[in-house]
Amino acid sequence: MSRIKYIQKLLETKEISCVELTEKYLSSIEKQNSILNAYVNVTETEALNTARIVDKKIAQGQKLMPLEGIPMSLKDNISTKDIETTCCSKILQGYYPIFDATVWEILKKQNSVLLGKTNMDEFAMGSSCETSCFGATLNPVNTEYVAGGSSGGAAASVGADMAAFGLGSDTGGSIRQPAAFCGLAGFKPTYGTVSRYGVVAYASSLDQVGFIADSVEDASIVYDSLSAYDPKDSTSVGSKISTEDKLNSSIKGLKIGIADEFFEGIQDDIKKSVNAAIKVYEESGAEIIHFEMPKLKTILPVYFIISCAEASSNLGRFDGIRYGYRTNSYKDVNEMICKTRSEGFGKEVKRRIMLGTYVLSSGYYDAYYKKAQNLRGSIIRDFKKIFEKCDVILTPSVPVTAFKKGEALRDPIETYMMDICTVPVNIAGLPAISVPCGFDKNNMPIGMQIIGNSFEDYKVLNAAHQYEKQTRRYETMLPLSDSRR
Amino acid sequence: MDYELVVGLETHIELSTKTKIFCQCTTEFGGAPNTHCCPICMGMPGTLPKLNKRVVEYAVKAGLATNCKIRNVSKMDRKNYVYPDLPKAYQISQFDKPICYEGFIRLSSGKSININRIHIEEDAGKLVHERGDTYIDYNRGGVPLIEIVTEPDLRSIEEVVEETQD
Repeated sequence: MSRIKYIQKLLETKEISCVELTEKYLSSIEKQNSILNAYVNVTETEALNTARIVDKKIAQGQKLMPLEGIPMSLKDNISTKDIETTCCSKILQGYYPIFDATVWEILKKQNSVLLGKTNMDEFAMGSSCETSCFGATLNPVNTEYVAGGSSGGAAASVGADMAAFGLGSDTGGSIRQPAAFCGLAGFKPTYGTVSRYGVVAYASSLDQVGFIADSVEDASIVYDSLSAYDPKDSTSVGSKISTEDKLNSSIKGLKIGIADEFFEGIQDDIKKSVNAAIKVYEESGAEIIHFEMPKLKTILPVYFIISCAEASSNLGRFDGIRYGYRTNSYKDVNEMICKTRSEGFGKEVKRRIMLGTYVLSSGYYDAYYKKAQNLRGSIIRDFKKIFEKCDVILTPSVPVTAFKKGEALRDPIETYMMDICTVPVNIAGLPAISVPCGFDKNNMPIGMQIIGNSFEDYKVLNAAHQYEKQTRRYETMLPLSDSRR
Repeated sequence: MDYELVVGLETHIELSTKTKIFCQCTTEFGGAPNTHCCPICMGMPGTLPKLNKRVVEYAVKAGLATNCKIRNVSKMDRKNYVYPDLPKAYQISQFDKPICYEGFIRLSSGKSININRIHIEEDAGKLVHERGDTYIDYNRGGVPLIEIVTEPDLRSIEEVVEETQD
């Protein structure tokens, strides 16, 4: 039984009250967070208040909604009314939004229990949470390693039993990469199926809210609750398909696409694990189809041009005038804005703002931004053609396993290259999941990625679930149980 | 030496919609400072614009009245610049695919003034300078505008006056 289902069963059969459950999670946070640094803000009062409402409903014999009473975490770029939302940047310290992001509004209506806001790379720019103004999040599997990023706090919160599931955002792999590093399921849905309203924008045409969970089944349950049409987001289309109902569809005859390009420069033990997973699928009757992806090498430059361009525009609003950090001393408004931004933004964010401003400036626009947009169009068309022949594509999630502390900051270009498998999905707006498929020689988790065609999120989730069902023994328990590792 | 007066006009016209271009705030003029605002027209982080249908209708009507072609596929663009009365640090406007293009109006003399384009965009807030301090009022921020751009076909002050009054 999946973790979310297990918790709901305990609540409904009154084996545990929601307040007791919440207290268990809160004490799990208290015991571990000082080491892991997954949460930057723990919302204890909010959590216990919601838990009491849920307990009242249970006492009255009311049926619970799918995520009701489930303790969870939100990445710190998701706006939460009256709860500080910083994107882990100094420039937003002290910013308390006056409105809720749509995804949080939905969870609030379901009485999901918010345990706190999770750590992330500053404005989601990074791969290790080390660009966060609150410092790195460590990997619950082994604290010599980082949890990944940018949704590293979300992954560590779930991996260390400090939340049953976590909401994050994925612009170039920010959910799938930390999920792979921590041995969890990380799902990035089709662009437009989950509302972006209230999620602080990094690169609007690539950003997508997604989930980190203990299992594919849990990710599917969360997706079904949150994939609703939102009139406040013009790119929202929602989804009416229940992916959970389709989780046990047969994968006999499922056409799985494999391209050699995705396996170039991949760590050996990762290659081995992913190939073993392909065997598992073949044995279940899936059909393997080989295709070529010659443009894969061009996708990273396309991604960095587009994401930095959009970031430079999106982050222009942080000027110290209306909210967040403002410099102490200044002569006039120009100096105030310059000093506020110089002091408020970290190094990586500044780098991307400068790159983005450069590629958008007149004279360079045609050579960089416009060219990148044209290439993006042709990459999308390539994927369309591939999905005429395949149901899903299978790749490694990340070319390497978790970084050691400090490793990701050493060489930014090398770190950018590590997004090669995840970035194509955002460029084309596709759904994709990372699921654990083994361990490297140091016992750090390995993830594989399953990519689907737009709006076929259910195929991705089912294919991943079938693999998980065959390869993993479920042992669901509560945090701080005696039998916990 | 004789000079010839050559004039082309860019005219901003406020549309009389009830609500702003990307949110549901009132467009009513006046009001206490910063009372006709919401997270969207204040450009709060994470907010998204939702285009007002009426704005598109009015812009198309203006295009039809000036013999413009109406574009079937039109889009909005960001114009990035930093100024305190512009809370997002970009104005949402139209760049390469304006909603109306290639029109003309006829003056009483029978002369045609060609119209290059009509596009829709949002207005900015306003700065109030008082006793050495500067205050910002965002009430006007997000009020819908159209911008009518003529070719440089006007040759006298009288023609300019007639064009603007039409």
